[in-house]
Amino acid sequence: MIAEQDHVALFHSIHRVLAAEKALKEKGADFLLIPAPRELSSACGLAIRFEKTKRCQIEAILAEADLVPAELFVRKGSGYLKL
Amino acid sequence: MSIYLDNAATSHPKPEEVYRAADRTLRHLGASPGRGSYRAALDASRLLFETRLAAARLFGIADAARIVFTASATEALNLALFGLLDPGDKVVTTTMEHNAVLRPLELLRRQGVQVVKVTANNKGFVEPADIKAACSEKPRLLVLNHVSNVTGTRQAVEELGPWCRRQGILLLVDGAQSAGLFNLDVEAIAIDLLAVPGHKGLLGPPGTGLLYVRDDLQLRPLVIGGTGGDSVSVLPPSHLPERLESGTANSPGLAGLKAGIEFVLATGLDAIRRHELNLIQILRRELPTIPGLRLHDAGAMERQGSALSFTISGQDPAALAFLLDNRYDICVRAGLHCAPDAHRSIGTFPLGTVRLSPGLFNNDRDIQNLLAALKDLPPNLDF
Repeated sequence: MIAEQDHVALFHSIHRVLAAEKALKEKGADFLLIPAPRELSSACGLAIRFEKTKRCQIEAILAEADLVPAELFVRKGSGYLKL
Repeated sequence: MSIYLDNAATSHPKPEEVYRAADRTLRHLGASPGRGSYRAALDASRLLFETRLAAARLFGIADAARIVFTASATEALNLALFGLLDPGDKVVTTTMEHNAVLRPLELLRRQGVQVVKVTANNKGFVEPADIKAACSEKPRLLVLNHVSNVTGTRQAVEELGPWCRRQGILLLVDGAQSAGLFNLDVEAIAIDLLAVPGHKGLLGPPGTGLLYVRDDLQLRPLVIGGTGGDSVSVLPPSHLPERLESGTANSPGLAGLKAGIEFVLATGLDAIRRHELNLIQILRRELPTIPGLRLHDAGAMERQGSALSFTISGQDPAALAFLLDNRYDICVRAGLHCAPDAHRSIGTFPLGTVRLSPGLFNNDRDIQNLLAALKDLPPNLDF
């Protein structure tokens, strides 16, 4: 579900993660709403996954909607690196 | 078919879309919002999210996460009062409040909160100058009924909100009778806390309501339990809305509320107000032609909401309401309407009044039938 170099954004609130989903959908961004990986603690249990190449576009959309993720990770080997 | 004139208690009927939304949700969207990440649970979460957005649009709320769903305006008021106030705090309120405010405040008073009540005039209006004078010692909170559920009198929140903000006094508005009828833009009026029922002017099902909490206010939860996430935390989360929304949400009710709010937004507050106040205007003009009848309204259309009361000399309001129902199939409410202090202010305590509260789906004919029934009543109400 989460490939090497995939990015995972956490928001810690269902309301915010759904607001992020809405903003990204409206702009036609390529992403997936997924259960937050067990290794990453997320208060709401959900996360937004996207490919590394989409990072700039997605971060710009989220920043414009005042929805900067609480935390952002990248998949590295068997773990995650915090960005 | 009954003529329903008790929309101040709960609106009836509802728009067709409200019935359909509640039914569809109960049948096809059975999963619990915020519980699970399978698609059905996510759809249920999205429904709550969209309902919050609709409410945010109606009340000019920038961040919909500051809207907390409750079972009623009463619960929203309890959450605001018990969640905010501590012993030693001072609160200013008025005699026009509903028991949903009066009773929590009485309990809080017994716990050491100082409560000051400003008296309304006999038209149910509280002079802003009197409120400002009562706030001279800078209370923590002013709690104010926007529109009376007895007389329909609308208080001067547009003046008091910005004044409170300048003074550093928090403002809690009880929008039970005004949401869906008058503008309640929380930014324009400078409202810090807004309690609203979902099932009155917003045309949603019973069992719905909401509390808006301004950005930097942190309330103690009234109900504590599961919030769907962050399960290892021993205390409720700090962020809204989850902090104040423990337990399974009323998704069929909230789906109906979303449909109700969308109906209100599509119809427009101006059109709703024009319709309801037109019916009220007919009542204000025609009721006084009935012998012995005394109107208990706002006194002027500029301050009038879509409820008003009357009494008939020598007649028990309860008997009047009984006969209207029993003989003419007209639903009206009699008594004190859970606002005893309001009746002390307008001079109708302890018997109370007969209250008429037309809604969006009443028409001229309903009002003419009511007037004909009142004219037809025997002088001695013997049932």
